[in-house]
Amino acid sequence: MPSTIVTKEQLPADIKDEEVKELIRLRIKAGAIRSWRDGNQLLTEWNVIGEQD
Amino acid sequence: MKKMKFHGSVLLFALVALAIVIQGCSSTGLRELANPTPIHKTTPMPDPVDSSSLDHKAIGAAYELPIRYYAAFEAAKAAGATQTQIDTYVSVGAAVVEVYCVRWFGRVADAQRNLQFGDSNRNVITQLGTALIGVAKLHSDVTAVYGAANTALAGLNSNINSAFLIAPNAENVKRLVLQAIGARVGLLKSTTSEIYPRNFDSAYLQLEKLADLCTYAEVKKLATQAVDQSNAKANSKGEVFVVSAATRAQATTLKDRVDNLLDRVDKLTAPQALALSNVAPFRNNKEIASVVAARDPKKARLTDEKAARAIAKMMIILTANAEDSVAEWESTFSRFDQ
Repeated sequence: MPSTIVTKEQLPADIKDEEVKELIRLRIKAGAIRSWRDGNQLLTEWNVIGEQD
Repeated sequence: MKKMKFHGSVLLFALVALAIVIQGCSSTGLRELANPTPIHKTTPMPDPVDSSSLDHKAIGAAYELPIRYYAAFEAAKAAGATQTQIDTYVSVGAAVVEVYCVRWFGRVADAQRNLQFGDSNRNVITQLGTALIGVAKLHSDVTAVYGAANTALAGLNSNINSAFLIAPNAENVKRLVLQAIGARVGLLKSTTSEIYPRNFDSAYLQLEKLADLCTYAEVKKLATQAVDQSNAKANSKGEVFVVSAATRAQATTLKDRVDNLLDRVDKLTAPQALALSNVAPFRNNKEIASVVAARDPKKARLTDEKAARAIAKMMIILTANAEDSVAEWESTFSRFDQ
């Protein structure tokens, strides 16, 4: 059974690729399953506690 | 040292007692929440001793339908009652059932507001207590006991919500119940329906069945079905939450401080990690609260340190995106350093 949620954050129009990489690194460090850029948005997938761990 | 222990015990006792008093104020009148007033039961009347101070017209209006119901009841059960009298009995009886149901949901909504009021006040006391414990520099065991006591009080409110109230969103459940009642009333009034009552006994039975749609057991079933459907929908799609915009600052000027905040979550003791769930900045922000509730639907963060740390880190990442919000998190952590 799928057991994740996704957060969606708007990215600044002038953000650089290196800065997006840094945002993704921080999200992974914070426990995200994955984080990726989709156009001008940053999507991050988190496990639902008690479902997968 | 002995004096400090004594002061610690007194402070702990006072803070927990204050939280319990506030809890008590918010959880009274539970018996009235159990079910609506049954259709065939004496309606509770005002105390005659106090009735002189009451508005008699308002009381009369409140009991208008039940009074008409019993008049229709007598007419319908009399020998030789006509179909029109049976129909009138069913029509007024259905209206009484709906009115009692609506009033019950009103009492439930009032009770939920009272519980939320108690929760809010207890949070204030919890924060005050955490601050005072920090000022008094008490032993970590005192902090742990205090955190556990407040977690237990929060659990008590949650249990009351679960046992007597229906769901966090009672308005939606109310709509579902009234829809179900409305649909059945339609059948009761339709001469082509299988359940259309053609005599008093049948009408009486059908009204009891109609009233049963608005009992706690039936409402809870409807609420559970609604939540299950909602969860299934959320899980199958991996529900998406739009949160505040990411900032360049988090990736540049603030990144070391955000990194440090994430590290500090891992360095908290277990009681501190659990306590953080109750004092974390932005926990009451609607956007953040929705994400937290979706990721931790069973509120494991209040009892499981691993869950508490996971939620804290996510909250940091989603909120520490500007100078002032990073500073607020740092200020929160500094309370645990004292």
